[in-house]
Amino acid sequence: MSLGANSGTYLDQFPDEAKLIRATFYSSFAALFVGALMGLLQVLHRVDILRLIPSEDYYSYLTLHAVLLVLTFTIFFLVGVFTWGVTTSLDRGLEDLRYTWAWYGLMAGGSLLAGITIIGGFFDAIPLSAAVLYTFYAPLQAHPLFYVGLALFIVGSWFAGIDWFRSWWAWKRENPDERIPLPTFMALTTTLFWIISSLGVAISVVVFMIPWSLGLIDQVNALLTRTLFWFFGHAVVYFWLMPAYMLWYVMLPKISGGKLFSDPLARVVFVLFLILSTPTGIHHQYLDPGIAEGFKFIVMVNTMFLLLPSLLTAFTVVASMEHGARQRGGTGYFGWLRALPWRNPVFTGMALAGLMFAAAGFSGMINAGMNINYLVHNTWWVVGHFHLTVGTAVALTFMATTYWFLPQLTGKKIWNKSLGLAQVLLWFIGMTFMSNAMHRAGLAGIPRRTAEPQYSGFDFQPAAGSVAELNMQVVIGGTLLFISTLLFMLIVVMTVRGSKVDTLPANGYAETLSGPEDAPLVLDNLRLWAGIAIALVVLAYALPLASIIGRHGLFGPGGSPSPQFIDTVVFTGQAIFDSLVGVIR
Amino acid sequence: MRISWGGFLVVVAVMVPIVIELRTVFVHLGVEMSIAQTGLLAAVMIGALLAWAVAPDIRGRKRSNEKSE
Amino acid sequence: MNIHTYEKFWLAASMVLIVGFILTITYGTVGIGVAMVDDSGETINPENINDHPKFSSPGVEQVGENEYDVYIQVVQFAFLPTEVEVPAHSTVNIHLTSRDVIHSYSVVGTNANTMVIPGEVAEVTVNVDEPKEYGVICTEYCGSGHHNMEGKLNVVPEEEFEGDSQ
Repeated sequence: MSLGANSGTYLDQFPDEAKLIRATFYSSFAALFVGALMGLLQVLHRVDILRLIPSEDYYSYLTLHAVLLVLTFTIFFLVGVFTWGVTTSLDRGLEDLRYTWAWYGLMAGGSLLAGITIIGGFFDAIPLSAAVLYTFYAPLQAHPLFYVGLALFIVGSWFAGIDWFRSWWAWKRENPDERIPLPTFMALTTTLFWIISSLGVAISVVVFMIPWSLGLIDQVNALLTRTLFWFFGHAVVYFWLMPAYMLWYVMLPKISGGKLFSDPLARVVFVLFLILSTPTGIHHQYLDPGIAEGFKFIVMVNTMFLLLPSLLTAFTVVASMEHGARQRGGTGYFGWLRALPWRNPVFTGMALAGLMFAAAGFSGMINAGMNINYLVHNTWWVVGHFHLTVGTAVALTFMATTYWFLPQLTGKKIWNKSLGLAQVLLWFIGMTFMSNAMHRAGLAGIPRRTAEPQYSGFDFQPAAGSVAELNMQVVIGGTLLFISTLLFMLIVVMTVRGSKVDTLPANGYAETLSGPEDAPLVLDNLRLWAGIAIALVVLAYALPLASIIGRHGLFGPGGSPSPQFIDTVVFTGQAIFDSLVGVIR
Repeated sequence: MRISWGGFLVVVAVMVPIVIELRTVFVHLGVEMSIAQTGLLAAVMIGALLAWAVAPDIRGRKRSNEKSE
Repeated sequence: MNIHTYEKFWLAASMVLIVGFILTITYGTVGIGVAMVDDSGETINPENINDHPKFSSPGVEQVGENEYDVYIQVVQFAFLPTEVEVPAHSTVNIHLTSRDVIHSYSVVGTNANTMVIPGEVAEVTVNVDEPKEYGVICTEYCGSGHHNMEGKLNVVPEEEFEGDSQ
């Protein structure tokens, strides 16, 4: 969709917003780099090739890796993408740039705070630590600033969502009879379920974790705070996924040379995610005592139905690619595949990310399969699964589309497109090796979140190959991924350092074969869908939460705090002392 | 060339998961393959693809890959 | 709304797939009888575990003709008792609770796997077959010594089983 007299790059059209999006992207990439480095160090540590730090401190690697990659990298990138989508489709700048920079500041400040507390865990001299992992289950306890940092970050992202609503409201006043443009529709529906779902973790952090870590309350109810985390913990993956879907829907068809197959179906998909993404959280707790089997069964059914919008997306995305390929002259039942722009890393990255996501969906169905979950829970299978989803479908799409966004935001050409193609291919291949090995290792029972999965009393028995071979495969994969990350950083830095050109394409996104006028009006009724979403969440969570609170009350007993912010030496010493005292008594 | 270099690299990349998973499938069918054998299989498949891509057109049909980008 | 024919077919096929998955899991639940860990275990105060009649002396106890109860305390960073011995071809009810943080009890190579949450008693019933030694690990990060947490579940021939092991 070209924008008439205002045509030009995004930088030409919206220079102030471009500056903001550059800030969010650069913050995102900084987190990606450090997070990826942690990943490499983790893989080398686990298989015992290189242990730079004692295993006790491995969990700070892991916390940093997860928090930086799945919170900082992803969310900073997506707030940039949605800002682009909203301003471009409404053809309107943001309402108040001071407000916008304020939310950016909250997010940046929050990330820094959380990051510093985690990094403190590596240094005995620093009394800060947060080796509690991304899920921070009580009674493991981090330094209070960790929780404060997370809270600021999340609240900042809420304000970002509200910023897009403000733009829409202002535009609606001037365009009362028009349908919500698709990218804006996607940003708004995503914001709605993001706010609904993150309320769970916000309550856990603000009402329980922060006062508890400050010593204002004695105990927290471990199962309650864990459940509140997972209230948020499943929907957050869709918060990461929806911007990737948006790019597959509105950018991929255009890059393929064609149009989006169906706007109405895209709206249906996003509405389905709005209403179904939160009432599935308990599927992360299938093995928890204290939650009745009936609730787990209902959640299993919800989760299986959540496969539907992704299957619909698969259809629409492939149909749109085929349409584009045929526009470019492709023919035949499968021959049209050859006509696609495979040399373009923007296209190839997104296509491979989508392909990998299909595999991820099926391993996800295993995870969702309540009684099957016994075999994979907390094993490396789960890690293999989410490296395909957030690690490829989301991360690779973000990196691939950066090759389109960066010129639009800076006015400069990508430094080297062939290297870009190599980068996305390397990611796909590296992830194949690593994730495949992780899945197979998990089936043999090898655990996740463990610094030294080498035990003395028994051996792991993989179905194919040996543990040594699986380890080697993981190291190869992880190394390729890290090289791919370095390549990405190189291309970004060299592009930004380049000079401006006049030859860039205009800002815009895909047109549709079946447009918004074909979509029933009810789809645009955001209040209705938000209401249904809230009702479903209440239905799914009221009884389980009431039951959990009924068992031990709001505040415990959850056991004594297990502070992960005391120097390891001190803590171990304390434990030894206690046992000695116990023996003497 | 029946396929662009970009396309060729992509097909090779997509072959990687196929070959790796084929090995697991074969184990379940009772056929065990060592790493070396798997590598050989991959090399053969890539070689076949390359041969198809550059083989001269014996039957004289017009077959060229579409302009990309 | 204009839905393409292929898309209608795809939608129908998707629904069949989804319903098929749900039915498979339902079969696992009601057909084969694989029960999920749930809230039927009692609640307990982690600080008073040693006042509990069973957890205060954790171990194996015969409760039926071929049925055994096992009580295990899970702590940072061990299972107490570390090695558990049960006879082959029996039904074993394992009761677990935590004295401190969230752990797991995961029998490697099997589907005997449960979270162990302070304040809750997790109960899993397993049917053990042939004699075999199983490794048990904690798969839920529980602190700096998490990777050292391991135990054993030894299924021994009936003749060799000695009764209560503590």
